[in-house]
Amino acid sequence: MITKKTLSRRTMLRGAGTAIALPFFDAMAPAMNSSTIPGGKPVRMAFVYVPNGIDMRHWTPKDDGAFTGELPKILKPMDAMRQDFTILSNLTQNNGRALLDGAGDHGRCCGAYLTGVQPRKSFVDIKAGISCDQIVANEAGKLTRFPSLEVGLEDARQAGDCDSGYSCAYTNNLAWRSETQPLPPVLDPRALFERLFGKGAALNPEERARQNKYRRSILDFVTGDTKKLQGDLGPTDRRKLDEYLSSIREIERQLEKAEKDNAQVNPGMPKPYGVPADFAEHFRLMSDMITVAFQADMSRVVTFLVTREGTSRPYREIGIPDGHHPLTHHMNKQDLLDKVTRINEYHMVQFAKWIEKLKSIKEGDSTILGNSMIVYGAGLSDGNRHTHENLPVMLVGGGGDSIKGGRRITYRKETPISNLYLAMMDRMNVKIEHFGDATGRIDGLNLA
Amino acid sequence: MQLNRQNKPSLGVIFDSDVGSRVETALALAVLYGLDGKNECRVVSISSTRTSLLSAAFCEVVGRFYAGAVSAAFGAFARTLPVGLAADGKIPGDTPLLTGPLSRVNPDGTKTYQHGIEKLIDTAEAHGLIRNAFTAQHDQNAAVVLAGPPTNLLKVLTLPGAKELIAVKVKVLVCSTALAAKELEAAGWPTPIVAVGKTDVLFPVATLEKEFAAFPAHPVADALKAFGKDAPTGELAAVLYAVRPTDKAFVLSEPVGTIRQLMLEPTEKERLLSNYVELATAKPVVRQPRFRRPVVEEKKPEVPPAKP
Repeated sequence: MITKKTLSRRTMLRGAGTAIALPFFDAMAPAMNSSTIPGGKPVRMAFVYVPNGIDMRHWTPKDDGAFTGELPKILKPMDAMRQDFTILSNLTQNNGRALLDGAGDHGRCCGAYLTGVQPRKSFVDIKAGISCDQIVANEAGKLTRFPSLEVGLEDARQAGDCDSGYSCAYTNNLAWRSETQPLPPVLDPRALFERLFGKGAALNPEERARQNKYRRSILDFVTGDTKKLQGDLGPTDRRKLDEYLSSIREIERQLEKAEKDNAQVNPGMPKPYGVPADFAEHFRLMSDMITVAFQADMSRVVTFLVTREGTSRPYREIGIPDGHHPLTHHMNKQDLLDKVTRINEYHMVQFAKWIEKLKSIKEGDSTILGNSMIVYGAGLSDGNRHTHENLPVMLVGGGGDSIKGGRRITYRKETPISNLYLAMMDRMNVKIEHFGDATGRIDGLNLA
Repeated sequence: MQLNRQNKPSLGVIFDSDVGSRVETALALAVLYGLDGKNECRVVSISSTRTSLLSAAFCEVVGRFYAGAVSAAFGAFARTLPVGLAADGKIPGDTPLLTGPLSRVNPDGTKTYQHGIEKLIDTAEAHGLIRNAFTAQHDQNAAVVLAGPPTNLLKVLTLPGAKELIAVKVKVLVCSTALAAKELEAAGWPTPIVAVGKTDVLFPVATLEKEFAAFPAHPVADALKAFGKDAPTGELAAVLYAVRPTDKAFVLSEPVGTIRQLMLEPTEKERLLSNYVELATAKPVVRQPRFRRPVVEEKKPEVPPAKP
């Protein structure tokens, strides 16, 4: 007779003002099968957006099909994960083009990126469309604590003219809940942390100050629940729980360090409280928290605006004092082109570290990465000429055994990137007939 | 698509055809680019219903021929215009109209006409390409010329929002056959349709010895050479009517449903023919690309070291 008692997938560690969701444990699986995740594999969808296009000379693998030999320079940081991603060529965002609206490619390309519609040229009366991540969040979001998470690394205003008459709402947001309502990314790691492990929202300044005065780890608040849970778990699950709680503690340490550093380091740009001065550190903190959110199934939908579209952020940390956007108008001058490539590589290094982490975390018979679909890319391909065809698109993760990586797939010219989004929505079990300017669904993602 | 600060450019023409099936399709392309060269229209989309890479390659060869060194002269900003190709039709054999020009070689053995179409991925999905072309046109400033079966256009109509878009952007659809016009009308094509009736004007093969002889190489002339005799001109009438609807040579019937038949004014046929020849044999007009040219660092001449 089978008597195995199962733990609910929604079990939480609770304490004063704290609620910590848990990763998948064997004890949560139905009896007899320790690798089956109740309710099926929780497939996640994320979009990581980098601005100002990408140097395509160092992005596109030479041949179609399986990767052979060295990866192009910008993709090299992903070498250890080369079997876990696919480069998709020739995808196009037609609605990022001028289409009679004149200048403003940066505003348009970002506003159209996930919405698939041409944004209205206005900085007062904004209008785009509901983004594909939000369509999924409306469905898959019912299963998780947060329907979606929106994160970013660069402080940016939400109003005013950011590109030739296009509102900053277009350049500074990826996710759109409705045609007129963008979802601004959370930039402050502390605010994201409080949202994930607190009451579901960032604390107000007074609450935060009070908590800081008596700074304790959130793990201290849930000691009782933790001990009780440990008693119910087998040795493998206990080890998993320890690792998971350690990763949360590590995030807390990083946050504390960043906040201490803040008092001493002047990053040379305005930024909210709690944002690390160091770009790589900021990336790591935010991505670590997304990892935990995925691991504990707090959310399955994420948009990550690395920096805002059209940004002129300098990268002094890698010896580039010039602004990113001016550099991309390089006029084919080699020294400027080299700097653009180095910025593209720098972004990819940070991204690769995150992907490596997702790959290292087991989940059922797979990994978090195996159960995820993460699109890394930009709304422009050539940042110098502002081209909207053959966008840089990298699809990372196995999508719950539905995507085969390790290769480049080239689609026919002008294939809408919305066709990719429809294929991804299918894998999130959100079946819709039409999205944006899609002409169908891209195929071949699951073929060997 | 909300702003319209600029004056309207010339008419945007979407040309869809089974290029390579009949010599008229090649001649129609030549007339179309001739009109583009005179700034009477802009070629904004070229696609083929003939499921053949050579058909797409021929379209690209003709496009490159007329656009000179830079295909950006298609009117798009800083991009070349891909050729749309139906990929789900029957795969027909390649005709001498295509193999003739495309296999032509120079005395040094190199191909006379260069193109970049080797695989299906070098072409675009025709219906998506055509839809995108509509999105970039001013209202009522586009015309569609169909010189072949309606496969691609029927597929465009299945895209969500396409009928509304076409109704706003397109002034007229001109079909080279009544059958295609009827099929599109039945599928709900939302603009007036003109179908070319019988035409007895023939494009003279003798132009190979006269007007075309001025070109060292001309892909359309090579197609006509492969055909070897005077060519029908129904497709040419379709193109010319789309761009010059008020030309006295054209007479329209009363509409039946949304379709009117195009007939030729007998007294104007001679002039019409000379127009066809003039346009089809016009010299390409090379336009400057609208994007910034790459900066080429000038090499400074080496200065020999001064003698001590």
